[in-house]
Amino acid sequence: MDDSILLAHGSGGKLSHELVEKKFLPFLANPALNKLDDSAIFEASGRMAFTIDSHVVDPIFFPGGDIGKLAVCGTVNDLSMNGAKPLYLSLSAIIEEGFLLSELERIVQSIKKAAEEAEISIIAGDTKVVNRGQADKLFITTSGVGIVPPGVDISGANARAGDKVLLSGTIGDHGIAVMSQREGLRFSMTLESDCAPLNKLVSQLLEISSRIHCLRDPTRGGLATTLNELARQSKVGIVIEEAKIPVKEEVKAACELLGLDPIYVANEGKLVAIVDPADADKILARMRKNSYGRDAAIIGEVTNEHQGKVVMKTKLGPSRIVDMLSGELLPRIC
Amino acid sequence: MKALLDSGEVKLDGIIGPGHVSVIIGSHPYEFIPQDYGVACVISGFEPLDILLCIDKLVEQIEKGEPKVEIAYPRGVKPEGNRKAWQLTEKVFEIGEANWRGIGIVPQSGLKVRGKYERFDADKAFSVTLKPPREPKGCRCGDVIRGAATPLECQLFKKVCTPESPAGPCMVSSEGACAAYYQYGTLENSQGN
Repeated sequence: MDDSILLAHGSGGKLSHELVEKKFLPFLANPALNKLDDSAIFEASGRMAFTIDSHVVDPIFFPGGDIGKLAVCGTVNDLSMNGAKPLYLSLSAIIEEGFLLSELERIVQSIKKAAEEAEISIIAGDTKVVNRGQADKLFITTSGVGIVPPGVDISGANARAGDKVLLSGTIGDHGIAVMSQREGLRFSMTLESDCAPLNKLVSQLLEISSRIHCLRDPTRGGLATTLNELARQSKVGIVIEEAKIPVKEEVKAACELLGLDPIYVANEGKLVAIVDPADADKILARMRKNSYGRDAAIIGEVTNEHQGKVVMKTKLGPSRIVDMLSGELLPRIC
Repeated sequence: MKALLDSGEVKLDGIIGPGHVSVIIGSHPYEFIPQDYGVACVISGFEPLDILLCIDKLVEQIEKGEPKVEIAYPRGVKPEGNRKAWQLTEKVFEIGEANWRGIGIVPQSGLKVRGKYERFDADKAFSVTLKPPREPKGCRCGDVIRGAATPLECQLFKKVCTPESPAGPCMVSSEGACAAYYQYGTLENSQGN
């Protein structure tokens, strides 16, 4: 086998088989996948959750993760945000001709590690190779199924006035880590992406409270966009306090330099929980016991006023409306 | 800035100087503002506290009746600027006229690529003729840029002109006055759903 991906790896012939058998199966092996049938068969009963997520991150390797880890965590987290216990993923890789096999192997190993941590199996997969220039190195799409435990009803439409808004940790880490890597911005510190599977954190929270109303991971568009989505979906207002939002010093400094607001910067290992006020402290304490929720905080609450809008009390005192992200995140010019 | 001050259209008490530009050029190029026009000038950073500090310094100058150039962003701006960056800029560009929205062509107000580097000058490298820019009907960006109108006085603001579908440049950039009014409006004056 050559050291980079050839169009023949996507032909369906010998090289395609070799690619799957040498680069994917040894790492992702499980009974359903090993059969190499056209579809995977698994047992399931009860309410299921089903989701899909595509990953096209540039660069594919960044401090704290890579596209493989991201592809597993993204789908695991999407399932978790509806209270589902993720079980199985399918994974499709679109690979650009010329992509290094050694890099592919690193990414598959990272997929394996993330899958092990999240305790899920990848039971179906597909690879395609496209001509040079028709894809940027590697795109990965994952879909996943999970089982929703009886009685769990978590939805972006469930927030009620009086509920508390919890955030599981510092914001902006992923977006700034990736942006610094992509644009070659060198800061004296290396900030790592927070990319992580959150299913265990969620199941720990569900064990101690049946009054979690909404969960959502503030990925693209950041915390501000997620809170706006929840306010609109639940037809409520949300008030947050800027001073209570945890932001790492490094992220603050990078954002100040670039003219970005951390509340719009992407995260890949954080969640927002909107919960009944009676359980808020208990849930916060449980979050903080998990390493992915160590810096968790109660950042605000839900109100009947200004429906569909998010208002932030700023550090200087006055309140301002926080809208969804509009367009692209761009550094300031003047 | 000189063209704005010369027009006398808006009676300015003070000028908040630009942070990033001044990182390169320093504070000396603004000295003519207090000297020739008696107007206060303070260079500001970008964070809320930077801007408050800047306004505080402006108010102090105005109250004392002692206009001068000050830097309220000392962690970014030095009086002499960044000499190396400025030398490089001068090597590649020369000062020439520029067309400013709402003001028109102002001599000595822009940078153009020097002849030696003209192969990098998009104007010369590509034979494209552009139609003269046409102002969208009703757009008051020119007035907003000159300080002759606030975004709220523009009929297009928030109706036809939004960050998703901007009519003029003041709504395009997050630094534009209209985008700031839109983004940071009060509850009563906020963007609708």
